[in-house]
Amino acid sequence: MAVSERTFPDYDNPPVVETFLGVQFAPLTKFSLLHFGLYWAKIRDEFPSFQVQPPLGATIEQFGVGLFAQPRVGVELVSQPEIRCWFIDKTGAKLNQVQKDRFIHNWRKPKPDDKYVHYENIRPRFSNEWERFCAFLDEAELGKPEVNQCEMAYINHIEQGKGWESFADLNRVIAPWSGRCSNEFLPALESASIEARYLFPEQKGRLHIEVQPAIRQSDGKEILQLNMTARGKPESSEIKHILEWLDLGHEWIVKGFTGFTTDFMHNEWRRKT
Amino acid sequence: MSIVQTAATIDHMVGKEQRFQISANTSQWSAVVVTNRLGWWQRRALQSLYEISSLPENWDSYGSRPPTENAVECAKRLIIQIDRDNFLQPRIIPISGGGVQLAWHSGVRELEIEISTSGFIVEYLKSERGEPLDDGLLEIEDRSRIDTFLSWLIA
Repeated sequence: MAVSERTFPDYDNPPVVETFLGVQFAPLTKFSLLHFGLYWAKIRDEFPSFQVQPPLGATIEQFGVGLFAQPRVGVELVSQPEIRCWFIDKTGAKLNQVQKDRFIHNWRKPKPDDKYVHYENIRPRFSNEWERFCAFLDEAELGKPEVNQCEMAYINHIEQGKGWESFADLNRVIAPWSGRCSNEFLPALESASIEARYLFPEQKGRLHIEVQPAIRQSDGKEILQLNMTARGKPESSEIKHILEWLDLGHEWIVKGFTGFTTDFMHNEWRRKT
Repeated sequence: MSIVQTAATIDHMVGKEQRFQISANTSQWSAVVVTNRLGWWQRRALQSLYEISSLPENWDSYGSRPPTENAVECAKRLIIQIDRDNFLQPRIIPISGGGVQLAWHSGVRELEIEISTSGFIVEYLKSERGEPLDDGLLEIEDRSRIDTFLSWLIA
C-alpha cells in the first residue's frame, strides 16, 4: 500500500525499533537438529550468521473469564535437546527464528538513525520466508505445518529525555495513566510497569501491551520499553489466512499504540495522519 | 554458565538419558535489561557497562579491543544477581584485551572483581588500606560468597 493510501496512524519518527511476525504450529515430530543445518543451507546466502537460543515455550490464547495466554516458561524433561536457531542476515536487520513448532521473521533497526520499515514492506518478506520454510519442510518430507497461532509484535523504545524524564512523567506518555493519587501521601513515583490486555471481537485474538523500564544494551540508555503484541488463531494454515490474521493484528497494534499513548508523545514522534 | 553448560551439568547430575529443557519466553531480538526490579546503583552500573562496551578498537592506544560480549554478559549477570537494593555503585573499568573490572570502595576497603575476555574466568582481590588481603578465583553463580565479600566491604 502506498503511503498516500494508508489510513492508519503514521509517524515521521516513531519509537519502534523492532517488529516481528510469526506463526506457531503443531510440533513437527520428525524435525531434528540436522534439519536446522539443512534449512540454513537454503538461506545461507542471505542469512550467513546463526545463533543457538533456548526454545520458546508454547503460547496459545485462551478465551473466557480470566483466561489469556500464559507463555510456558520453565524447565521440563525431554528425551532430546530442543533448540531454537536464529539465522541473521548480512545487514543485521533481518532475522529468521526457527524451532520445531515456530517460525518467526524479525526486522530491527540496526542503527538508531535508520529509517523505520513499514508493515507493508515487512509483510511480503515474512510471507516469502514462511513459504520458503514450508517448501523446505515439504522437500525434507517433514510434513505441512498445522498453524495454531499467529503472533506479531512491535517493540518501541521511548528514550529518557525524549518526552519523559522520570516516572512522575508517565502520564505524559501513557494515555490511560492519570499520574494522580487520591491524597498527598505518596512521593514521586520511582518506577512502574504496566501490563494490559484487550480482546479482539469474536475471540479472534488478543492485544497484549507491556510497559517496562529498561536499559538498552546497545548504548546503555534508559528507556521505557513499550511492547505491543497481538496473538490469535488464523482461520486455517493457508498463507492467505495467516496474512489476513496478521493484517488484523497489525491494525490492532497500530491503532492500539496510538490509543494507548498520548497526543503529547504523538507530537514528539511527529504524527502525520 | 551458558545454557549448553547448564544442560551438560544437569546431565551429569541426573545421569539419565532424559534431561531438562530450559525454555525462553520472548521472540524479541533487540537486547535490553528490564530494570523494574533493580536498584538505582545497579541501573547506573549497567549503563556504565554498556557505555564501555561500545569503546572503539584501540581505546587504550595499546591496540586493545573493547570489552567482549562474553565479558560484558558475565558482568551484567553479576550486577543483576546481587540482591541489594541500596548499595555502593561500583566503578566499571575496561581491561586491556577485552575484559571488565568491577571495583567497589568503602572507607579503607576495596573489592575488585575482574572478568576475563572469555567471560569464564572471574578473579577477586580484597584490599585494605591499599594492601592486598585476599585474592583468588570466583564462581559467578556463587551468590553467597559474593554477598559475603560485599558485607565485608561495608562492615
